[in-house]
Amino acid sequence: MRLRVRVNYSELLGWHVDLPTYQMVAGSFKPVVFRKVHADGVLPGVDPRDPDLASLTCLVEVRDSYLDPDTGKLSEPAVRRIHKGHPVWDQEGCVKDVQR
Amino acid sequence: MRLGNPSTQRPVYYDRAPLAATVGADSINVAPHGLTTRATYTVPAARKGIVTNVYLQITRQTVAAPKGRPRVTLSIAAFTQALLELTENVADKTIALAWTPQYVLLPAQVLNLQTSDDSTGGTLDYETYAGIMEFDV
Repeated sequence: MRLRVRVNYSELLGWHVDLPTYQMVAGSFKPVVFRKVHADGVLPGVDPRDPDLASLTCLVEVRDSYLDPDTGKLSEPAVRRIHKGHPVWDQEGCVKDVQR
Repeated sequence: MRLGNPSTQRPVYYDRAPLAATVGADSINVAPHGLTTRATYTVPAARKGIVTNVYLQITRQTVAAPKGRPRVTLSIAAFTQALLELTENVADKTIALAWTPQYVLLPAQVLNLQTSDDSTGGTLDYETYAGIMEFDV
């Protein structure tokens, strides 16, 4: 299933999505910002704290089993069940604010 | 003499609720960009994964001025397992890596596919792919 999700930054992962399993869809970064963000990523050297990047999103493919079958939205109980015991993905609020 | 009872033997891994959990990302004509995790795979609880095959490719579409170090990396548990770096600034130049690692991923282990390009201008095509079969522990 394809979802639009928030893109975050960390030193280890660079620009990434806070989900345990995903695949980015090519050409789906939004918003495109002149000299900062293009459709496939953020230009090198742009400050991750730049306010223009605060609402950065992209499309990802995720496991159908991460979704609530009724709403089609990311389901925290489903993610926690699949990754039971995981130090990051079996925590309250693990996928909060990810989907846009 | 009978050495074992076949009816109670544990099935081989590829018969234990297998799932093709392949991850990858293809992008065409991509401008320079900071490190980006294009795909991630985390092994679910009570499951394992075997990385059966990996394919990484970079092709330069248009030349950069100046060129940087466009890279594709595959890492497992935060350790780089494969890295491809295009050093030539020539249109249509392609480098690729095809690999059959047979690497076993344990529960909660993470595989990442990342790209980066610190060039100024120019565009590249990327193909990143990890074939993973997931199965019951």
